Amino acid sequence: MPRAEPWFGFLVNPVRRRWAAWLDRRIPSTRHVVLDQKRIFIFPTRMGFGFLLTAFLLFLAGVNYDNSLILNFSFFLGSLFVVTILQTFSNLSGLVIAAAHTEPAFAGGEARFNLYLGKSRKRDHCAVQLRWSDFESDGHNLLEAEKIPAQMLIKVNKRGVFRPGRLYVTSVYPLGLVRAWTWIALDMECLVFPKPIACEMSTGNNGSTAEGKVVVPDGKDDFDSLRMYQETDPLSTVDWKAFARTQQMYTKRFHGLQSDVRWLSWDVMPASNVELKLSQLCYWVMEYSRKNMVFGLRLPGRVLEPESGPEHQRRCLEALARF
Amino acid sequence: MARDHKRHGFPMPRTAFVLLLATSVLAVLPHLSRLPLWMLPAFVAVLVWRVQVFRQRWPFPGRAVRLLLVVSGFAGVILHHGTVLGPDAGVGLLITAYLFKQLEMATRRDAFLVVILSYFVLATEFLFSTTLYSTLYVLLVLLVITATQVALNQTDARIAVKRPLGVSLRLIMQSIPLMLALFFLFPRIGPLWQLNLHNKQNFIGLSDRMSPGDISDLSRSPALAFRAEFSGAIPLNRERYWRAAVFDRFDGRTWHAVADEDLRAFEESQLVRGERRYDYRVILEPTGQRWLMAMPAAKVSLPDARATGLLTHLNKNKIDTTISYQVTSYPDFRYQVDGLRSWDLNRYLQLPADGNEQARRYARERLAQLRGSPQQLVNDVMTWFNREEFVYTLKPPLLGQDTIDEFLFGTRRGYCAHYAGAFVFLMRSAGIPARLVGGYQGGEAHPIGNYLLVHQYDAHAWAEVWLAGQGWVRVDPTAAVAPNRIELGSMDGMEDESFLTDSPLSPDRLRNVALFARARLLADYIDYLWYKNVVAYNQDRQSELFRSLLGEVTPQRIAALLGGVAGAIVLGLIVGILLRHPPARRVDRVDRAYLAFCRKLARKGLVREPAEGPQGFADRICEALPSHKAAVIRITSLYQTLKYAPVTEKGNFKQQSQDDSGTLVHLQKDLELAVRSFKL
Repeated sequence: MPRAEPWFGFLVNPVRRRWAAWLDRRIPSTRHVVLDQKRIFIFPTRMGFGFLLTAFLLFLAGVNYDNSLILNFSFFLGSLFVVTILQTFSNLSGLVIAAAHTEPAFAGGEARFNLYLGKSRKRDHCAVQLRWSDFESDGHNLLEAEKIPAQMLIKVNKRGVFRPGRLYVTSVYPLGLVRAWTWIALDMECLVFPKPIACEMSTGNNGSTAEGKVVVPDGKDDFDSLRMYQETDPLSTVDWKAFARTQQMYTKRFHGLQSDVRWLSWDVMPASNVELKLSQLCYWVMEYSRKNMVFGLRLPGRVLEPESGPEHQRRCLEALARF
Repeated sequence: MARDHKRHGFPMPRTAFVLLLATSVLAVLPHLSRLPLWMLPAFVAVLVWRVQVFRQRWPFPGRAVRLLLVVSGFAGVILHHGTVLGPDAGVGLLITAYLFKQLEMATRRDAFLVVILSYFVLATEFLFSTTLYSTLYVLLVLLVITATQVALNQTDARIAVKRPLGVSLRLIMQSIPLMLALFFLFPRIGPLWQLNLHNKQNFIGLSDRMSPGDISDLSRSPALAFRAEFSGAIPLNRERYWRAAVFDRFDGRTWHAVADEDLRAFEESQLVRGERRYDYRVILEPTGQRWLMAMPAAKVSLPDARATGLLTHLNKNKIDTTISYQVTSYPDFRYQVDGLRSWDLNRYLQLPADGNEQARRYARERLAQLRGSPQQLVNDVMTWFNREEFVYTLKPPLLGQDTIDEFLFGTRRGYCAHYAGAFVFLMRSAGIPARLVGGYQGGEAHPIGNYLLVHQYDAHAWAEVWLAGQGWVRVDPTAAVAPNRIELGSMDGMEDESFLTDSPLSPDRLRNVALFARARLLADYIDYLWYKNVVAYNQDRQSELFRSLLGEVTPQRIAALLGGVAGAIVLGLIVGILLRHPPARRVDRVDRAYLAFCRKLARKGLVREPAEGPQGFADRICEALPSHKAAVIRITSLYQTLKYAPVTEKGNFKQQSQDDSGTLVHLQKDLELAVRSFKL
């Protein structure tokens, strides 16, 4: 895209609207951008050049046939072009783009970046197109709505923390003669987990260390101890007998017993390549979680104690992603 | 996917398609009468095909079919016009291309090309008509074309036709000031290369030959011939002789205009001008001839005009669009007093070798009786016309072989051309140089504008005789037969009902009905103002404007004027479009409820600051009115949810708990109820 100097960049928009100010307090300012005159670039499209050529040809016809009205027709097209520049500009100006949340993805998949488009003045925004990385969204229209969600599905290939480059915001509305555009930097990132790759683990101790049974706190199997009741405890765990005796509410604590505690360890992965190892670990994390097993993760420099459940899975995946 | 586009085009929104169809019809409509006849069915067929493609019933025609259509279309247009030159053929070809482009709209770019071609087709309408009504029509179509473009750039297929039309109207209104500035101030330049219009239209008006019946045909036409706008007093009707052409050669039936090769240049030395003068501007409708109407002796200021020795003026090219020129006329003048050159003498004494013997004999006898005085003979013939039973009528009986004899001594019923022709014949028979002059006589004074309307029915023929010591003298035999025709004008001078018989519904027939008269003259006045100020706005008029605005006219000053005005308009647009505080939208129910809540608090002196958000305001109220804390928090949180909470695709609010229970309507009602029950 050709970079042009915004031709009325000198006109600063001094008035920050109430709504924008309020939004500012709610969302840290790096997380949302109000498009203003200083950020927007503008240049004729191919159709715009065709339109100008039409106006010029009609101008020649008007001059040569000495026809005032054809001449005036060409002046009309020229004026319409000028108005269109301003209207296209104004269609983007004042548009608010705010970061919402991102949803992580596995490498090779698509990460979801959720945005909001909003109005900073009561002006409509039509047919606004967004392009981020390789994803292009259809036109977004802010007419009656004050704000609308926009979802960008961006292909991610590399494990780690993914930050897409600048978001390209553009529109040719209303006449398609000029394109207004801007690139904005939104403070958004998402985690990209390694791509799960299946493998065999050396079966020697099935990847687990021989520590035998392990006590899992807050389990349900064996009574462990009593402690003072806290508001968040479920009533089913209250020791009612003790309550009858002492008029004090105690909560019974149990621990779970897990016979097959497994450890996923960096060292036992068959691959020699770091990324491949992580991918294989990722596969097993997914696999164990699917079977709802208790497992720990041992990475060089970081150990996650054995646990189970979606929270644990997430922590493990995050550890793999950030490794 | 791409192949599907080839068959049915890119998925054009319905709104855009409807508007594009309307554009095509409206742009071509005014041209239809000038196009070959087969164009109408072809046009309808193409549109039907296009609709069927849109409905995905038929595919677009294949490449070969399209090629065949275009080639045969072009061939048809060229055969019809016999040329590829000229506006008729050019517009025909343009519309053919436009037509068949409709059948090739695979991409958005094709659709855009159709829009561009629509602009061209529409603009060419001005080659044929420059009236105010055409202009208003063009403006209407522009609205539709622009709306089509808006619709093509919309991404929401559900938007109705109303919205792009509204956007288009706004764009056009915003464009008009700048357009007007450019129109009046953008420096006009002359044609870059010579173009002839080659219009094949049939014009009504005088021609270069005159038979007795010709003018009576014209007098049935209420069409406007020209207007004359006076800067001072308007001359009396009897002075309004608008000279167009001089006819010198008579072949026994028809008078012929002086041939081009016989035209001599006007010589200033042969003309003596009087003091009186009339200054006026003539706005001449297309005639298809080169004559420029003016009252003699005239000075015509028009670069392409040439003054002839016949006191007429000729334009360089045939006049096929409306033109205007400034004239100064000196009604009291003497021309060629010093005598005629021998070749002129011969020409103005020319008569056919034989025929009309009775008239020749009559003239010679009368001259002899009057002792050879030409002036006496002129008076004598005029008196004869006046005394005898000569009748002025538009329905003269047909004449046989010797037209002059039959008319003078037989029927004695005729129109101006009969009398003037017979008069010139009599004079020449008596050896007095004479010639027939054609043009217009009279004109209707407009009650509002200081101008005369001269219609085709004012067409007139009169005579001129050359008398020693006086030069050329105008003699109008019609004045002797029907004095009212000259004193009051053609309309009131008519004694029978033959006038305007071909236009039974002509507004001129209703002239005596006051309302119609006023409406007709008002319509003409609007048309006149339009022509004078817009259509005829040219280099000269622009120079006048620059002189009156700038005093001394220099390129720098013109640039400063144009730059200043255009710059101010663009600045106004920038302020209007970019910095405008948009008009307050209808406050929605949520805002209305919240504002009612704010008003209740304001009555207790708790006014929300302009920059204070609902949350900050609520915190402040809670401190000030701890007893109402619960209600304030509830109202505020409902308001915040309704206004700012994330919305699901279905328009429901996502609560923080991720369930979709709270619908818009429920929460709105809750908020309204809470505000209503909020009492201080």
